[in-house]
Amino acid sequence: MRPGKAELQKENMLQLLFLEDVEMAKSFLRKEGYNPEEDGKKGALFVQKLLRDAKIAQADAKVTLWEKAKKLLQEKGSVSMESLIPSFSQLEGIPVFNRKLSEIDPEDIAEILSEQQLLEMIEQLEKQEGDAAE
Amino acid sequence: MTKTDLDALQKHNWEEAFIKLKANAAHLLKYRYRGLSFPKGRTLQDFIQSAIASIFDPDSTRKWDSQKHPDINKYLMDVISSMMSNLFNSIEARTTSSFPQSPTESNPSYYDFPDSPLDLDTGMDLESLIRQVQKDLEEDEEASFVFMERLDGLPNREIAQSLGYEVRIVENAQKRINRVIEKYKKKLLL
Repeated sequence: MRPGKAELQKENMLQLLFLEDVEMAKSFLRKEGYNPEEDGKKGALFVQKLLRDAKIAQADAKVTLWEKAKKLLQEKGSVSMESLIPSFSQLEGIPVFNRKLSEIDPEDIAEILSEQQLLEMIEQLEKQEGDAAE
Repeated sequence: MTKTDLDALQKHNWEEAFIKLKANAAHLLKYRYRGLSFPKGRTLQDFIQSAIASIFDPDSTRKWDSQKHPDINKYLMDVISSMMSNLFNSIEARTTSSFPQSPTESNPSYYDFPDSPLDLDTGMDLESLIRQVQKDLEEDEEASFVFMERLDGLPNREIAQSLGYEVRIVENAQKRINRVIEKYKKKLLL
């Protein structure tokens, strides 16, 4: 069933009301026989579980990325982190004088770098490896 | 999903969001789909949960991006509406004779039923409310245009593109629209 323009406008008007006013949403749900407070709590618990799973998946992905980065770094030996990540010296937790990987605990780097930065680092290392091979 | 998006989702008020999403979906179910039920004994709660889960699924085509869709509640309402439409339209294709038909002169709009929610809540139907808000916004060209685009279902970012405004202008216009709507809600709920 496809509503006409007038019906869609009414639906969107109601969407606007519900978005702006949770009390109106609750009132409508109560009239329809739902229990909004209980439903809201159940829904929030469900989303918390999704968020926890997503965080675990993200952490797992980061560990995998870090393992790969560590292997590439070990093959390369001492390397300037700024050549891999331009913003490296601005990262919190890294002393400014520690620019060489050999001076930094690799596990600290894994803590400090985001997943995106690890990805960038791997791309740079692979690129440098490719350039060296040519 | 990026870490930034995940952090934004973590800070969101999901209890309140869920109530808003459910009210909007329950309204669609009752008035657009006239109380059709979900297959395999699923409930409206299950349906909304699966819609939310879809934005966490890395294989899903529905990707939430906080830059593109800053209002997660609106984005999810649109996702739920789209999923309901896909589901019930596929049922319609299989069982056309029993499916509620689009409104016609002999079969009036589903919003003309006397128990339309705002009739009960405020004594004012949605059409009257829309007309009244439009009238009050006549002197405010920006808000008037933004309101019309909102009625077409567009989010702020797309409204800004469509009207050639900055997003900030649209957001401010939306605040003025909300104040007009609030006036009627307060007045009518007394």
